[in-house]
Amino acid sequence: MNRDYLWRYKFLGFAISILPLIIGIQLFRIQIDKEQIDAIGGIGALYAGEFKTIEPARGMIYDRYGNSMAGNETVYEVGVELKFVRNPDTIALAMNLVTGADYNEIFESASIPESPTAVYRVLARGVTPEQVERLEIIKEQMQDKYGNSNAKDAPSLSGIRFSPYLERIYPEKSIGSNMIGFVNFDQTGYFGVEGYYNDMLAGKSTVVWLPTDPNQAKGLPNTPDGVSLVLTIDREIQSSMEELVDKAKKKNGAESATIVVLDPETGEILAMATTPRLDPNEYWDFEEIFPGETPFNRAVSQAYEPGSVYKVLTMAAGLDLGVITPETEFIDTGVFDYGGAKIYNWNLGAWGPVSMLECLQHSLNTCHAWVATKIGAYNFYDYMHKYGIGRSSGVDLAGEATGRLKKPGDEDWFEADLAVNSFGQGVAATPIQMASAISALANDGVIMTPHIVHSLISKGVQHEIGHHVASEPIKPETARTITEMLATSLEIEASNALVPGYRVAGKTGTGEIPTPYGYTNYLTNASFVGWGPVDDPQFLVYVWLEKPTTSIWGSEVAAPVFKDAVERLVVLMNIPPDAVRLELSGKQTSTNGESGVSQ
Amino acid sequence: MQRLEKFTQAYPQIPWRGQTQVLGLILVIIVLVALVAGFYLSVSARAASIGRDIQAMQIQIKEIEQQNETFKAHLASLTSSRVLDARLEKLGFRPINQEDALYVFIPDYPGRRPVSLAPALEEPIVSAPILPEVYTESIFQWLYRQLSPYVLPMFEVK
Repeated sequence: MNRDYLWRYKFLGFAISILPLIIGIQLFRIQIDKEQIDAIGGIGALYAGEFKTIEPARGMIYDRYGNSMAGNETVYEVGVELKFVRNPDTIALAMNLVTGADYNEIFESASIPESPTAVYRVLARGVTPEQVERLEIIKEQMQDKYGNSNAKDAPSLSGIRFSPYLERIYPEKSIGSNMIGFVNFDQTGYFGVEGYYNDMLAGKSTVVWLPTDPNQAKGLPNTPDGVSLVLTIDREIQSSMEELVDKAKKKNGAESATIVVLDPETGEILAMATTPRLDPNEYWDFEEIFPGETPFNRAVSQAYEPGSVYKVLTMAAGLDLGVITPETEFIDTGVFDYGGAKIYNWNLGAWGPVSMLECLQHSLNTCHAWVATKIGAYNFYDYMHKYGIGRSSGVDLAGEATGRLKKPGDEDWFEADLAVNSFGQGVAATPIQMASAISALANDGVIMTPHIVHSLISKGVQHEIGHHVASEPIKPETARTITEMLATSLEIEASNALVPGYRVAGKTGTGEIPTPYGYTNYLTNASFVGWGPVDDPQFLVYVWLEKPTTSIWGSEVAAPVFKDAVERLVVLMNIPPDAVRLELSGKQTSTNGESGVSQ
Repeated sequence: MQRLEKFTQAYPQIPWRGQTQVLGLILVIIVLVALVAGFYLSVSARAASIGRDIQAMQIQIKEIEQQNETFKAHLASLTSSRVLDARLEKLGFRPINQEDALYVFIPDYPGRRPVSLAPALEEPIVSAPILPEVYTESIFQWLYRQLSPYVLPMFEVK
């Protein structure tokens, strides 16, 4: 070896050996340099995995017998990963052909050049599995035919992506929609139980870190589905009552029609039918179906002056307080002057000496105003408060209106209000509040909180909600007395509400509608409230027809609807005619056991 | 025999013998390291493969859950009142009228009750395994249980 070159070899050897040392020092420096740690750690984290939100399936909604009223189905979000889009025209054409989406909108979205701020674009949501299957077939066929082509305009669905997600579905369509509500595109519940129980139904979403490194793959945390609800509603009764309100609205030329069916003993709502109704699967029609301030569910959201159905509350309060009895006589002169207001009867007539039963039978305003004055303002409003008038009934439905009950001490309360309130004027209540208040008369003086959820199913366990007492405004004897009075008055009047074979108690109501210029006498709110069978009430039906045009009187338009409703109810609820029931209950007593009847 | 003696005499004196031993040692270490590395790679590859399987199964579970929801929705649509009414009408049935109803007395039939779709909280889960005592008691408890029928009567006051 030439000694002159030896130093070069030595230098090369030194350089080679120093290199690992430098690398080692650099590695060490990176480990302790915070800036480097953050920067490199950040880059690493970008590729180390992703945060994923696990959305639980929204809870189901069933009727009381387990029929599904709301569920979920898989649909797809179709989007494009802009980086891989080869031909926006093909994507727009295919989407237009298969889903009916607008060509121009899709073309515009798919043509956006990829950038750090534009990676993915949503083309359509709610695409059905069948449509996705068709798109996949088209994509595959194009890939087979033009996959190897280098031509710039070769047809291609490259870049198109399908992401499944669950969407709310209502198999019964518009049946019960007013009290079920709906879920919109961002999975938020509106109105009805969907709105009231939204947080429970939706469940809690969980955000998890999913590492890309398969060595770190872990089981996903258990994200329980949303709570499912079993309603008190009976699908068959609901459907039947909806058919009836539609028929009643049309037949009587009314602006709207509402029927509430309650079990007075438990407060369970068996049906709540009103107009108009929406198919919640097509919630985007909301504005069209409910223009302006039209309430979604009139039964809970629209307070109105109920008129004479309110008289049963006044009469019950008077009986309960002992200021009157069914035989108490009132001499009707046709006008009752109180607090500066003159009260007249519905026919402007004078009925002479009448008993309290006749007061109810002829629905005399003068007589009830007199009863209210006998009760006194303090006691009268105390009773009304206990009935739940002027405050929320506590029903578990979104958007309940409280109504209005002016009381002594309020700026706009006058002495005359006591007299007019007695027959349901100057007071506003929703159908559910009225039904709930009057249920005291059908349930031995006890008001059970009206409710629509029977039980909750959470984590595989069914929890019954139970029934809760809202108040006890009157004594059981009073309730039985007024029920008997009302049943008798219907029978004497040969009312349109009478149901052959069944003894029912009830009262009509015709409420004039207040306007800025006073009360109208040609547009009314026609109502009827009734319950039965009288000796063991199993249902309470509240009927309200808004501004009927065939007749303004509740007795002529609302009472027949009540009769129709009861005729359907007794069949759907397996309630035998009174004679059969009493005969069967005799057999039940003799067997001393639990028993029932069936059709 | 002489040849073997010569070889055994000469072998310890050959100059590269020491180098061979060092080389052999290094080779053994390399082989051991390779074995350990191979074993590690095999295990980590299996772990990675199982990890991928887990990820795939998680996606599958999600898909199955979504399918279940879709099936439930489909079933609900097929049993919706409109569909059932149409089918019943097609089969010649009509809604019952009040006057058509015949009521019969059924002893012990409580009437139609609201649905129970899951066990109530207070109800025991019947499918839960109930362990026999022998699996949970200590050896002394077991001994006591075994002997008590024989021993206890001896202490009874007659």
